[in-house]
Amino acid sequence: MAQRGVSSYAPMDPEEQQFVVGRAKGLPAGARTNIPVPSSNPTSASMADMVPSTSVGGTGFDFSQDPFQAALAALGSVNISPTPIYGGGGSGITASDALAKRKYEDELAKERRQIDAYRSMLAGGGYRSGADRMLALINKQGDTQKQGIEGVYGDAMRNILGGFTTAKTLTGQGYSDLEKYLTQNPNNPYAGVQVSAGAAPDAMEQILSAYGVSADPVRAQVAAEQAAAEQSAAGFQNLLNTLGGVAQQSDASRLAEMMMAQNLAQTTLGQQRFGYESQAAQAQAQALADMQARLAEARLAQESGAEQRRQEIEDTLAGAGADPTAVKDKDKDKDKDKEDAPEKPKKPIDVLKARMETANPTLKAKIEAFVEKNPRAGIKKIEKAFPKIASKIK
Amino acid sequence: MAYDPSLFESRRRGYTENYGATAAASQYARTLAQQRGARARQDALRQYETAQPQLVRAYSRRNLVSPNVRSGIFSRAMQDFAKERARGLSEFDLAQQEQMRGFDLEDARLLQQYRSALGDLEAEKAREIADAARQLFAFRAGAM
Repeated sequence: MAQRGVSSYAPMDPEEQQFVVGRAKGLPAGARTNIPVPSSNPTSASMADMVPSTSVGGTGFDFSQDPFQAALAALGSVNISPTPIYGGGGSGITASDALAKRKYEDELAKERRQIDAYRSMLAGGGYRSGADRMLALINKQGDTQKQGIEGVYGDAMRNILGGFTTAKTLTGQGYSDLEKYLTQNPNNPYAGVQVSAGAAPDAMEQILSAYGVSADPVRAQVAAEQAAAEQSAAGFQNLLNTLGGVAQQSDASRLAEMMMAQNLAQTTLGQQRFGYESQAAQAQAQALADMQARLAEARLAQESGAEQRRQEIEDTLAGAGADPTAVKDKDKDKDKDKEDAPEKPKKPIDVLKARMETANPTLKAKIEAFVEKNPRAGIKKIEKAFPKIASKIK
Repeated sequence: MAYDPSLFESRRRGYTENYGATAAASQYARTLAQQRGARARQDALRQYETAQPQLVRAYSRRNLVSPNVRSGIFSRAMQDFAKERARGLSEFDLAQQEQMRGFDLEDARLLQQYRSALGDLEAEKAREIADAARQLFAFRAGAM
């Protein structure tokens, strides 16, 4: 719908034409000028009704101009009666003066309204309502990001623990199988070698006795040969014993090597675990710090914007001759009241949450799980789960 | 590198086949040596058996031995012969035993080598399992 006002004249309904209230440029929507507008087919009589009642009489309007200009022109063209508007006497104000005065009063009222509005904004904090909304959003975003970071950290810790457990089990199984194998397969084949001296040849005793020859010297020879064979066998047995001892030592060394390797593997896994946990914690701390920095920056930008708006309003008020300090002082008093007010006692669950900052990873995880499960837990519930911390809360 | 047990099985097969082949070769050489030794001993024994009546006949021709005569020189010759036979056969036996001991030693050495290789293989397998577990852990922890 076309805006109807002093600058856009168009044929109207008879009723509308009676008193169309024009909206002056630059005035707030509610500010109306009480300037009568002529009908589309004006007559001298109707024109007379349209001008301020006691001030002017007229002969007609030029409708080639817009109604406001036409009204002013009409007023200017008539012979203004010297009859005073207020009171009697020949020195009263003219219609144009009255109009100017009225206009001035309207502007003054508008300025007052603006000043009141600015003061109201300063007093009620309306100037920073946008910033407050943004700050609330920033805080909410911060909470969401924090939860996300903590979630990622929790996932990382669970993955690390799961991976560590699996790796430890696999490593343990591998070395356990090796130990079983080495125990069941001792590597000393020299122990199984049979050594014998063998039987010495006979002494031909039967033949010798058949010829009546004594076999004694031959028996001595046979005994000597047997002794030599046994000596040789004993030497070989010694060699086997030496080699068997070396093989046993080799076996023992292999078992020791296995134990050392297993120990090293398990220790390395443990070290890796702590390393990964440390990295995850560091990454979390870094992410949280980055997030806090970003949030602080965003908050600062909002606060800065709000302060800038406040300063603009104060400048505007000062420019308009109004005293902004009264409002400022009021705000200061409000702030002071806030500072003087006794601090509200913290809830036990909040104290427990705060304890997480200084807790070790295990306790931290425990507190996190507890808080997640019992977000509104009272001191009794906390006492059951964390008696030491609860005693400090009390 | 991921743990692949099939590689170990392939190596284990290789070790076993190698050991089987060398042990069989050694066993075959032992058998041949035993046969050779036994044959040589039998030859020597046969020679002694052949020589013994010839010795008696030689002394008999010189009337140094008969059912009623027992000369000291014949007795000495017979004793020397018997001693020489005992010494000769003992030398054969000892040489044979030493040769067999050499085979025993070689067989034991081969078996120890084979078992040692298998032990190394098992140890390597355990180390690779541990290494693979470490890598899996690293993957799981997001470090790789």
